Amino acid sequence: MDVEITVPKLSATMEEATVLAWHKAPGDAVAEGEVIVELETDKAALEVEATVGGILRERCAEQGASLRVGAPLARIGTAGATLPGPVPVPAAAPAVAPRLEALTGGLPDLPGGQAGASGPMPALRRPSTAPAPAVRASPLARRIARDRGISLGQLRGSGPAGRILRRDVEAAAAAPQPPARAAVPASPGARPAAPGQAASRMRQAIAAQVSHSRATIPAFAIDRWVDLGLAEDTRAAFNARGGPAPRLTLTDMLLQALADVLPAHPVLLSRWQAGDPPQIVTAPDLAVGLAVALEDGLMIPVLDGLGGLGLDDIAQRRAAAIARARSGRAGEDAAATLTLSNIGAAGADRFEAIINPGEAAILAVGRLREAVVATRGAIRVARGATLTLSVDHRLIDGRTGAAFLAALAQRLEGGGWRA
Amino acid sequence: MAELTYRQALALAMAEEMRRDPRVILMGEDIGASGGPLKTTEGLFDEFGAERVRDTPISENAFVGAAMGLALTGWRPVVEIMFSDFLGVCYDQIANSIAKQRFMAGGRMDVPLVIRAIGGGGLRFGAQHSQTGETWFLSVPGLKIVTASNPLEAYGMLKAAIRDPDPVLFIEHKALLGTKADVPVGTDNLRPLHGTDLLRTGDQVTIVATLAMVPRALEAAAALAAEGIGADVFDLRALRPMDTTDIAESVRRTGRLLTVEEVSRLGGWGAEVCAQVTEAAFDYLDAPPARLALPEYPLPYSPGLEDAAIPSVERIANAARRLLD
Amino acid sequence: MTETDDDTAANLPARDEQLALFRDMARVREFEEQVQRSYLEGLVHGTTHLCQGQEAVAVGVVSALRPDDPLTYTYRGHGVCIARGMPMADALSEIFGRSGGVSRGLGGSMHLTDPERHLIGSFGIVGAGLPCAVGAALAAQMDGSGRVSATFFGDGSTNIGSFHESLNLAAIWKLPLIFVCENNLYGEFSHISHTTPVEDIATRAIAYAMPGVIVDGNDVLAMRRATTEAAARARAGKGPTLIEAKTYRHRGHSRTDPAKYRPEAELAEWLARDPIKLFAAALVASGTAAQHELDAIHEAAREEARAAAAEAAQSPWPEARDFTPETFAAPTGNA
Repeated sequence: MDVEITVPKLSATMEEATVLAWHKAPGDAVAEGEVIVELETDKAALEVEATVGGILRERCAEQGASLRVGAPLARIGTAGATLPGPVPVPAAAPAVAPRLEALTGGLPDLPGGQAGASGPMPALRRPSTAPAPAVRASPLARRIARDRGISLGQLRGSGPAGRILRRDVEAAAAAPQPPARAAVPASPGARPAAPGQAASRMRQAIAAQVSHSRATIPAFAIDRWVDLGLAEDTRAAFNARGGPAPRLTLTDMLLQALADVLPAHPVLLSRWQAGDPPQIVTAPDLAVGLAVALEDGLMIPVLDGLGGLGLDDIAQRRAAAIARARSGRAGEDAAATLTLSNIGAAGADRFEAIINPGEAAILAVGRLREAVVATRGAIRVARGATLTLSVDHRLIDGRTGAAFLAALAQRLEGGGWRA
Repeated sequence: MAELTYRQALALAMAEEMRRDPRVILMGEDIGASGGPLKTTEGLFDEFGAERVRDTPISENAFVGAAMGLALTGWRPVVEIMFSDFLGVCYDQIANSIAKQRFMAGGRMDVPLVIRAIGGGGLRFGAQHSQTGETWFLSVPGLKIVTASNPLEAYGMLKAAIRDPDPVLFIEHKALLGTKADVPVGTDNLRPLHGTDLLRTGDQVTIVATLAMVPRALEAAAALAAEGIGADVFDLRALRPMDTTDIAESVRRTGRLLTVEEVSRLGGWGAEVCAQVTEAAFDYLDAPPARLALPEYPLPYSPGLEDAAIPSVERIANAARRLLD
Repeated sequence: MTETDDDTAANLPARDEQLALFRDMARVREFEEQVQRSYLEGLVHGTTHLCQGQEAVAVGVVSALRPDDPLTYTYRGHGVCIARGMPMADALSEIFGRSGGVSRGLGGSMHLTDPERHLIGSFGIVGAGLPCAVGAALAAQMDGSGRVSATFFGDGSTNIGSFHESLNLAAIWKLPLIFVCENNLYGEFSHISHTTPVEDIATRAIAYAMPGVIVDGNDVLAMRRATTEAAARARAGKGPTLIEAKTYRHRGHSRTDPAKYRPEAELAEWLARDPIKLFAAALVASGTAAQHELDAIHEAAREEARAAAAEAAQSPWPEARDFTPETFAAPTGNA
């Protein structure tokens, strides 16, 4: 076992020492307490003693060398012919902190009572002025704007110092700027404008919604004619049961068909989330928004948990949803993942519905009508309707949309209805 | 201009002020013939004698309270508290008497005194001899509190503190005692007792530190600069009153704030800086303000544990890099 | 430790000085009685600590000192301030929290100070006034001004660290300082026998190598004599003295304390030794003054106190709106 002797700190002000003279050479025997080397410090010469008896293995510095306090000075091997080697140093030895005594030292010869011969004290240093921000917006406002795909630069903030706040972003989301209209100069003798009527809240909300959709969602439409003969016959048969069961409507058939087909086409339930990079968020379950016509507009209550339900259950939920919509209570419904608009009964053969922001698609159903169709070369009269699927092209391409529609048509034409 | 160690800067400041004003008197344990346990008053006993460089028994309560009595009756005492941790022993006199005396007297009495407390860790002195003490009186109005991170501040602020008519708690750091700098010495060269100093400029992040964390912050900033990350580095200097105007201005440019303190995070001054800067520069923040501080336990004795507890250069640089994620 | 001797005729102060002593005791008594009445009238806020029964201590000590000898005392220190000459109206305005108070209403009952009268500190923390007085005594020593500092504190203060540290420091530096302990047998609600292992506080002086003097705290002339001696010692550079004044407070610890912890017999016994009555009896007995003279002085003191209270009640309230805190002599930026 080797013992290391280090340069001792022998006075409060000692920082280093010079090796004056070695009294022992490597290989010499040393006794505990015997002087092995003389050092010189700023104050005096001093002798360093061996702390153990043994053999001097190594002199870590030669005569005349200058060492700092704490530096290795000598190694002494204690009795034993074969040494195991130097003591291993732990892997991460902590840093040697400066010894307090090493921090001390005498005052230099200081001038007495001189006045300002050194020049002035520097002033505190200060940063340069920062430029004004491009946009002032709270972190919350920024997040909402990001989620809704709204550009902050176009907003005016109502907060302190013109800061854009949550309320400013939400207002923009609800009522985006209408397209600029060229000012029409009044010509002499022009008829005065007819008096207008304030748009109702619902109309304003619808207007905001559809305008935003058109402005931000790149949509296209896919049509498919569906033969609903079998479906209608089945429906009539179910409704002939009488009793407490609710009367089934075509909407109920459509809902069951959607619930059965959509699991294989999850992209229909996704939505586009702006960001860097944008996210495609797929909802796990179908929550169908059902467009319900009202006197002044429309409401979209939401039906969820339709998977595996029989037509009777679906009908009950459908009726409840419509009731909610008619009594103005649909506002608390969860968000829809797909919307079904079966307003074809009003008389349109087909129509392209507008996708609700936050959804990937909307399915519009035209009126149930008779049409002359050709099947395997033979002409016949069939009962059916045109389905028009409008999709967000960011999420759904033509082939995907068409494949879904085909699957839906097959389901509607093929039967397998469950009461 | 003289190249002085921090220690020498303190001693010289006291010497100059004692030459200038015969009413300045020093008190503390072993500050006389011994020159101070940390050699902060070396040479002063020889020049000014035992009356004005006065050794006290170990009675912080009494001699700190006596400092107020001296200050109220025409003298300007400078008391040395050997280790900041001992401020606990005389906390009552400082917080309840010294800080409140002028106010309770309706402004009719001044209390011109300085309490110099030498604190800080990293020297394996153990939990009861390693606090900086810089935040122990942070919520006591009526005290001025300053911290000296280098010999220039030690010299210039101590002189200003001695001349100030109000009580000043002057925090020094024992690990800085041997650091050197050029100091423009001269009787009237003072440093202000309020306001921050911007020691290094850069545009990506703002770093604020006191005492021994200042040189570490500067080292971290140098390392970051090599990676193309520029940092404004501030020495906070004055904790009470605290002025974060310049720090906020810097954050308006960088958008990112990192405070580094040798104090526990809860109850540290970093939270105050972050709160003030968030209020002043809310719209410019690109990341939440971040704080590096001591962990929530007393400082351990074992060297590795002590070093791990105190924010290192590497940790400071990493914290700054994280702000840029 | 010494006990003072009885007066001999040759040691008595002159007649007008004795009447002044009587007047000041009556004034202190009437001031405290007025504070009590004002408290009941809702003019005094928080709490207050009254010293009825201890007038001889404040008056005896203050009368033996010079006007520029710095004094520190406690929250029960109204008597010291009145004895030193603080105008009653200024003191009452402060106690009422008005802007005309000695400290603009910022200090209150526990913190009546007046730098011009060298009333340099009134402390709410037990024992905190002693170190301050040590400092003032050190200043006097270094100034060579010949001033003596005195500090008043209760028996309860003699168990706290500051007491021991201050006696030690004053002794080792041989400071011109008089420690005046008003031993009224109670520290707040605790009888001294429950808190203090010695019956006579003065015995503690031995530990700090200074004289400890027991004085009848209800004998104003004895207090005056003891203080004169201690002050002479101090001014001669012989160091500090601890004077223990045996006394008693008529009222509870604070205005809200009915002092039910004190046995009735004890109170009655001390009431019979009312320092003002004792001194009046002595003055009459020695033919120095007639009873009606003393009654008139006492009545004048009562009038003075009432008038001062009326004046103080008119002093305006400090406004929070334009209040300048005056924390610093040299405020910086946002201080």
